[in-house]
Amino acid sequence: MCEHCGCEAGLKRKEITLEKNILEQNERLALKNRKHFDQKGIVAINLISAPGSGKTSLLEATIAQLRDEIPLAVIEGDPETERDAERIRRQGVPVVQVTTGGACHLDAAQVHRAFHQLEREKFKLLFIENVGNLLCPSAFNLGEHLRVVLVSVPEGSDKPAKYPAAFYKANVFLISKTDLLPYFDFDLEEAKSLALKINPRLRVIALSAKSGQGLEEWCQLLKDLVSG
Amino acid sequence: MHEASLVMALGEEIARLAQEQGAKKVLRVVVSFGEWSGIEKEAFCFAFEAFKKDSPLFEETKLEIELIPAIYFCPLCQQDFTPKEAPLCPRCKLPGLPSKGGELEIKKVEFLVEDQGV
Repeated sequence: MCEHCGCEAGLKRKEITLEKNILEQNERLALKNRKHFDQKGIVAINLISAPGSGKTSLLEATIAQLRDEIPLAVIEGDPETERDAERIRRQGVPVVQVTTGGACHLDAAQVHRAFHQLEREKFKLLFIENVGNLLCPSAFNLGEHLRVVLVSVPEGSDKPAKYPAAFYKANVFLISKTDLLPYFDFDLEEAKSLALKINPRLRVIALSAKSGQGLEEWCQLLKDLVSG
Repeated sequence: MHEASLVMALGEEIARLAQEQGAKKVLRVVVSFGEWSGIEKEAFCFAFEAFKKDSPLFEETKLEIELIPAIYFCPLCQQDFTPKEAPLCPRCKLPGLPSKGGELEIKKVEFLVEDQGV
């Protein structure tokens, strides 16, 4: 810049074409996480849903079913508090709570740090319970092998149409709290077909952590993943 | 809500590049978002305006946003297609794989740099 008046004399415009991912830094770290998981023979699951869809309850039920066969660990993401981590800890499973300080999603760096805190533990399956939010977490790759999006019956069957980004990048769509189906106008077929319109490769499982319905199919999927 | 985190990441990326280039100002930034990226254009612009106020390098930056439609790929027919409704391959009718539409890209940046020729 001109030292006398701040005009643009002696300067020129320069355009650079980048075509670079805005979240490249996060993608790089996610790739690192993935390598880290693979080296240790760990399968990582990124669990995404709105607040109150039953992620933690599903984890409790899953742990109860799988704990004798597969050693597990959990990374809990929440804006504040250790509450969810305490619920998992009661199940006797190693858990690290990441409090994001109000942020609406987990990123690869947070998962990387949390994973280091689990270094001394021996496990094959890692659940990453993302911050309760159906929008923001979908942009952030954590290095997971499987991305699971969860919608509960009371939320309504039009969720996939409202939050396509979450379904576009997911591998599995879980419809939770099916024990409540008699009390809500939730159309299972509608939810399924809306989700498959966005991403035809989605595996859809309807389940209830409370009644146990559908849990077997979900746990079998996890077992198949771990045994490779 | 995560538009603010994205603007921060964008700012860091471009500031790094500006330093490499010895740029005095960032004049223009072109970003492109896919149809399924989950980005709200208005929220992103709002976050960017807030970011500009605290970043002298970006004081005069013009932000341009391009939207990329979703494109799917059929592994069987080995071709891309733009679905009208459900993403089924128009040739074989089998489900396609998401190929474009999740993008969050910095496409172009225009800097103001020292003119070495003068």
